[in-house]
Amino acid sequence: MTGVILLLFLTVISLLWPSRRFSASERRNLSQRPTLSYEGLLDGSFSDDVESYLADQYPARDIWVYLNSLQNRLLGIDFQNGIYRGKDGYLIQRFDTTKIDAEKQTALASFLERHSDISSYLMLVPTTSWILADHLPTGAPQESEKDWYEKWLETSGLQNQENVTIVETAEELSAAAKEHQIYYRTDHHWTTYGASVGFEKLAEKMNLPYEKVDFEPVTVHTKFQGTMMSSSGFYSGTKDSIDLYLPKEPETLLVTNKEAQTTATTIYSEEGLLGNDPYEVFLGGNYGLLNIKTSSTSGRKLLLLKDSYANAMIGFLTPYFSEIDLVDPRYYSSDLEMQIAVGQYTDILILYNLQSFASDTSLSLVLGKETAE
Amino acid sequence: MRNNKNAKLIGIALAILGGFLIVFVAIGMIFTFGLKRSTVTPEARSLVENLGTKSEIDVVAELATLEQTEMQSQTQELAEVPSDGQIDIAAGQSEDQSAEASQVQVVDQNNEGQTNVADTSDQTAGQAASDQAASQDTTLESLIAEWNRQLDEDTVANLSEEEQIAVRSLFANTIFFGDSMTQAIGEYGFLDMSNIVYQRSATIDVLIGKVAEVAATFPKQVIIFTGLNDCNHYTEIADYRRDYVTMIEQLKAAIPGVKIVVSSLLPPSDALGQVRADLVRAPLFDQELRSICAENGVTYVDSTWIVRQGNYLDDGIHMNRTFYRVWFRYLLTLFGGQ
Repeated sequence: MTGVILLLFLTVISLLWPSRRFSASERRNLSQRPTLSYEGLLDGSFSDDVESYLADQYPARDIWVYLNSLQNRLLGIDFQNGIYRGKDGYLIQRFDTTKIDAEKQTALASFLERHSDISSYLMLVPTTSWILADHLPTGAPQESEKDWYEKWLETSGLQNQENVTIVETAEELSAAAKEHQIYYRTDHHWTTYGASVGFEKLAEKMNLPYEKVDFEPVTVHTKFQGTMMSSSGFYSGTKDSIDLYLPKEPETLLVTNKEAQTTATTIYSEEGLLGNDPYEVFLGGNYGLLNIKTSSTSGRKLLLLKDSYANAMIGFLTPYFSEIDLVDPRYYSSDLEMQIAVGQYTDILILYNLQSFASDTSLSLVLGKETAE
Repeated sequence: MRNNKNAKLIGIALAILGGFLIVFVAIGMIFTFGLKRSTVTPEARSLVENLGTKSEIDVVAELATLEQTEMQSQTQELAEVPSDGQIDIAAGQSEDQSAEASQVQVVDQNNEGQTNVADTSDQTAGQAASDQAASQDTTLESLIAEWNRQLDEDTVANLSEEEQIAVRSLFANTIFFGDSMTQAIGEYGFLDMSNIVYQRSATIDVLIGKVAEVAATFPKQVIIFTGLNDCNHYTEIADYRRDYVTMIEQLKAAIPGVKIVVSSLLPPSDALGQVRADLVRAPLFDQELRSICAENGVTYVDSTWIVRQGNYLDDGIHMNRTFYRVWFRYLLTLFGGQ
């Protein structure tokens, strides 16, 4: 009896419940009420739309998601959508890749060979599934990120290429992780402190006169909850801080988004900080091509091929390069060969985290593109 | 009695259920719509806000000064290197080119006496620009003669890879600004759209509205190339002049230190000219454009000599790639010589 009433009630409520465009916790647009059409009925897309509409616009959806994760927790389930609920509030993305992508290796090797006159650095940053493996739930199965990386590097032959320097940070990050937080608990990015550890190693390899004391950390967010929480449904009570490491020596920057034709005088975004993903305080997100002109007189010009891990590290690079071009291959639509020919770069840095590098499909496309008028 | 008791129980059950549902809906509403409360402290917010308060104009000026000081220290280092390799532009001008060449304020860095009558049979401008050593005998006059010959014989080659790179390097900090004549630069792939601000069918009064967009990336140079829309739009040439001067003034005001270059307003094809009396006035507009440029300190580049009837598109207004190839070689030689 009560069950029937509850069902009826929920049906009525779900019809009356106002639609929502966007789910902040899941960071995605939700399905909207579909419009009925003859074609839609025939090809079945209408009923699919209705189904996803009802699922997305279910009354008090967020509560149910939370209750589901609570239930999982009570039942001892700690794996959802590729993410483990690890110890100490860490959500850890499982490393799944076993395949060595020979095409990417060849594209990368021949790209770096073609530009052997430029000093190149390859920096693949380990993620939590490697560095915080001891935080995984006991006995949690996964592929080894470390093994994959070592095998990939060995078979790529890049270690033997003369102008290429491999920048390895696993040891430094592991050591630092014992004392500090180097990854966010609920987001797949590294903290700015983590980025500083990575940068210290990079600076050594790149011969940059980096001194820790030249930068000062400031906290800009204290309740950061990241995208892994939303995609796994593991609501974690632990919130993280986002820090910026600002150079003590004031610098002058002109940041130009080449595709949107907009400029800014800082690499940090207030809009990003206040938006749905506060990690976007760094650069305001990911763009195909950003150009940063700095007041550095080093005369060095850097081409940075990167994923979003690099965003937290840019603040360390600007004092040491006169100009930096940031290319995110996922969104890049220009011609990289032409850009390099024009750009007169002194350094190339390829910076990815290992998980996104292993699953990435855009990099080799951008590296292999050929030109023409 | 029994019925009463049942009714009472149902009533209680309904009340409990109703209460639960109301609470549920309330919490649900709060969860769904109330979660947007800010999680960033006002201090943090103003901190990040204050990082970007420097104005772009100041930054551009500051960086430009820095660059200049660096350049100066570099040229001092290079001062001892002989300048034989420079392309000679000013020394080789023919009579009919001198009018515009005097406005194209290209400084002759070379020793005029060194100019030779060049054997340019196999040389292209791109080689000249990118491979200075090979082209030390080349003069603008002989290059133009060679390009004219290629245009007449319809043997204009694609831009070589070196030339494409030279174009992109030279115009990396330039915005090409105009109507569909400018759009074609991007469509044909000579430059990325990030170097181009255009509006199709735009007349000068419309382009004035796009000045902010040109200024958005603080280019060092703006090259204006527009077509025949104005001949159709302005009945009085004086109005054209008024708007054009306004546009130039606004560009200069919006981008401190910008160098403005204007390319000729090209005539319609002969075939189109026969049926469109309004467009035949194009040379008058172009003549006006020359004097506007001269009076406003703007470089005017005469590109009418590149026009061939065979290089018009079917509409009789726009030009094909061949025109642009020679146009770019010409610009490269004019501006890329140092």
